[in-house]
Amino acid sequence: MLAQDALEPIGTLRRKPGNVDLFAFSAAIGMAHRIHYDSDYTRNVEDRQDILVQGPLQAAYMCQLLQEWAAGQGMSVVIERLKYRHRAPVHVGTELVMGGELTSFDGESLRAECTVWTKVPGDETPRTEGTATLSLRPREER
Amino acid sequence: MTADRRLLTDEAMAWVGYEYEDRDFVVAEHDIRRFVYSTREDEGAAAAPDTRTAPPMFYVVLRTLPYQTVPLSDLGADGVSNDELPPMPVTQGMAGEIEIEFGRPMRAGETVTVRRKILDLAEKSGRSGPFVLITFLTECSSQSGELLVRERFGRVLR
Repeated sequence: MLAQDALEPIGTLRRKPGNVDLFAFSAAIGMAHRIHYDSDYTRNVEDRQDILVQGPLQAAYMCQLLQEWAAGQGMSVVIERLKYRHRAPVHVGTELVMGGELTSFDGESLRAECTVWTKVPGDETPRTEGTATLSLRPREER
Repeated sequence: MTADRRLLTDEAMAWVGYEYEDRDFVVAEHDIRRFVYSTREDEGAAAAPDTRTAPPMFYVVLRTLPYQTVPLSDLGADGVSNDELPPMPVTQGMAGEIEIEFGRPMRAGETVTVRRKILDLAEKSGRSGPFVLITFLTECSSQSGELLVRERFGRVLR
């Protein structure tokens, strides 16, 4: 039985995806969507400020946040469910801070619910926000 | 007759429930490695990532790559394949809300079957005018039938 206040707060993870990050991610998922690599097209045809950070890349950062959080307490985490939406686009080269907050925790089953988000420093409104259902377990168990 | 729709014809609406052909994806370690490095997971303080076991969001490779690997002449002006989509007078797309349920992690060397269907099509009004919300259901299963990922993915098109 683990009490919720025995858990550290979720904390933050920082990433600053640049052109190479965006290209490498689009290559990894096999996507040629120009809004992630072609700034001329993205500015002139789609009327945006610059190329955009992919949504699933932000989601991957949010998952890493939760994994880092668990590892920092000698635990591992299984993300059972993740739900998220984008509220505003993130342009290439933007510093992102990923964070979250525990909203519930069951000390017997070690299952937890939390919020997760990506924010830009200085701006309280998340660019991407969501919720996750987690299952924590001691580090040795996989 | 129908509601006031400018982007979705009756022909487009008939695509609700459309099921794509099942696709088998052989997960290669280099697919996992590319994903892990492109998301900088190797830079975390947690233990060095195991590139034989895929991180949760890796399924996006299976949800994207098979459908976007088409002749370049079949890509739209925005670089996205419009193959097997309802006919709609739209040119730009962005991600809407996504909900994912995860089973066990995918493993290098295993074959995963990807099943996708169009769950819903709706026309909505936004600040920049009308747009279409298309919702896809994608399920990835192992060869023994374990459900590895279920995703409901909304895409905004205008």
